Amino acid sequence: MAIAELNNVKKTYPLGKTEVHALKGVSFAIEKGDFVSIAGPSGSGKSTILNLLGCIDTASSGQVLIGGVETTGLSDKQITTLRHEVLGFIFQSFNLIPVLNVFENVEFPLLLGKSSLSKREKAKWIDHLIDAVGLANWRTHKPNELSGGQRQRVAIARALATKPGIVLADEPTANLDSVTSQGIIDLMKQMNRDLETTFIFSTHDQDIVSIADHVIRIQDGLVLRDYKTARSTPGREDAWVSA
Amino acid sequence: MIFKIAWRNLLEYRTKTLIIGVLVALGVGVLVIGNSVLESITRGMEASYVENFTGDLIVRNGSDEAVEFMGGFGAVPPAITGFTEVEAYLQKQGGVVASTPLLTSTASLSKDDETLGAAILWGVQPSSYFRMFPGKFILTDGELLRGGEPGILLSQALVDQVFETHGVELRVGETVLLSGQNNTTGTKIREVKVRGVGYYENSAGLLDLISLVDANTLRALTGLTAVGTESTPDAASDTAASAANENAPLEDGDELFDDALVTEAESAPGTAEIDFDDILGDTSVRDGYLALDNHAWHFLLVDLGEAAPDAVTAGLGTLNGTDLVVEDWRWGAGIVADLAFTLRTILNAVILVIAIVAVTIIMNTLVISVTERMGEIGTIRAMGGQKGFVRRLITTEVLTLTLLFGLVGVAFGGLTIGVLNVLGLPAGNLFLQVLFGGPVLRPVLSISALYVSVIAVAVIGVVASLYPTSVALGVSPVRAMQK
Repeated sequence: MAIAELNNVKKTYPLGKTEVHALKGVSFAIEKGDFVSIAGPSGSGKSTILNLLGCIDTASSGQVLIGGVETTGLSDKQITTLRHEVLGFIFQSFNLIPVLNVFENVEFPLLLGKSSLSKREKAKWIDHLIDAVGLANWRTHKPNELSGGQRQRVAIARALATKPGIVLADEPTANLDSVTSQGIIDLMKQMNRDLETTFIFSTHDQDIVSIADHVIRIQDGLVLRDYKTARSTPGREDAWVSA
Repeated sequence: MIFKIAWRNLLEYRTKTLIIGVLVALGVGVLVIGNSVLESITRGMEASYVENFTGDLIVRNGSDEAVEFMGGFGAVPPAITGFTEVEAYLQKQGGVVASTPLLTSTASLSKDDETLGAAILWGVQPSSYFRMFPGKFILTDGELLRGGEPGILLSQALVDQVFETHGVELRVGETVLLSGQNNTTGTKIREVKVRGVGYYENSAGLLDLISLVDANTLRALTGLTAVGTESTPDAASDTAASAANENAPLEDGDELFDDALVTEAESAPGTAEIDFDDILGDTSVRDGYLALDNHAWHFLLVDLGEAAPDAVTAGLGTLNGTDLVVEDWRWGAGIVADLAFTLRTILNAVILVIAIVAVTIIMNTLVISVTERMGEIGTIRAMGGQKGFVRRLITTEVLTLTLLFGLVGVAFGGLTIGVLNVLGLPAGNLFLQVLFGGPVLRPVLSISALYVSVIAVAVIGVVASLYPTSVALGVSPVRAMQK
């Protein structure tokens, strides 16, 4: 079963007296454990797709299913709970809480809802995530004491704190240099493998797109291509497979 | 975690925190200082009046007339109907510690044909009065009044005033003339001996000018006769203490008739060749009606100790033939107390205006703060923070800020009150002296002002956070992506 699915989704924004058709009927499905790149030029509609997948915006028409749940018609409380339990977010500008240190930022999502973990288990899990993103020596540092790459590592750890089924990343490397960007993508890929978490990220960087094992190319509000790479199909390592 | 974020945000945005904080602290400081000073005034006033002048309760005739307690500057108060019954009833009540009746009026004071000005007179029953207010009238010369003995205890302030204005010395043992006017018997003049001179402890302004006089002298001056109080002469029986004083003759009464001005004074039979008795016939009925009513009192002052007023006065309304009103010290203090309470109301109105301004400034600053943090709020919402979490976050920040600086304001106010208590707040003029109940006010920190301040700060905090919170709650999680 697909962990995330869009069926003929359209999204229209008002712009003065006119309307902008950001999505003109988009359909695709993402399987659990996929490492997905939504790729396309600026203004193509990839951020709109990410917003809809992240349940932080609503479609004008069509179906958005997250974890098999049709999100249209859910109340604000229900959809917020769904975001907390199923989704993790990595933002282009990191969006860390400036007054909290690394540990507290990673811990923060756990405090937004119910958790089955004890306080000790939580601390152990957070420490594990901080270790995993390579910031063990920066636990007590505030975001403004970290480099861009380090901040995005914190954001990755934070996105994984609630053990979500899906992590959405909106152009996670847009504010980073190429070396750091590669490191961030590698880290995301490693987490994808280790935790079997589905990663969906938007990018217009071709180098990063090539790391994904499922690529959805968007142009002018439509899916141009939706395919899986050989990485997702054992035995066919060199082939591009249409999804 | 919410408190941690709130606290750190306050530190992070120091400028905004300080702008709001200083405003809150100043507001609370003004609240604490103002209310403490005014409460010190009213408490001091209450203690002064209750202990020195009014007791806990003032029972009076339920007349609609504009009656005043402090000496009849308004209408002459009507006498209490059924006084004996009322007094007996109150004395039977367990909570009554002491009671004493009182008459009040003003009279013109003169000596040796020289008018010396107006005197505020309280007619007292010496035995019960000085038992209920022991040591409150401090003698500078002479002795206190005794039961059944006509005389006056002049106020020291009046004596000083007369000396300064007229150069006339009023000494103990001398006699003075009191002239009063009333609707029953017209102008009445009485000559009384000065028994003593003194002053009330802790008094100021009007109270400084009160002189105490025997009750019958004042009854005569105010026309409290049997007909005047609408009781029959037969009913005017007396207590042992006041019997000797009934219809007290004028001392050296003949001298009064040497003065053409006093022709309306009581007749002194047998001084002329004409036999007035023959002309008038039997005047015993008229004399009886014009005899002083020894049960006529304007007020009955009651000391309740710790008893609740309602428990004591509940049955007063059921007494036959009585039409009573029970007042407290505030009524007794009249315009002085009204002034203090009016000032308090004005202060509270000013504080309300300050509070509205403070709320507006705090609200605007917080809205700016929320606007600057829309990305952060959007991120919290995107990560699964419910609206309730955002509401708690904003409210906690505002309450932490207002309560923290509210405490600073309380400390500032308390410190200022402490300094004022040590230094004393001097009353620069008579108006302030009346208000302060003396030349210097030493305000004490009002606990109720503290409670009011904390509650006011919390209310300001909550009200000021309403609009910024609604702005924050309107922040869409999409804002997280737009940063």
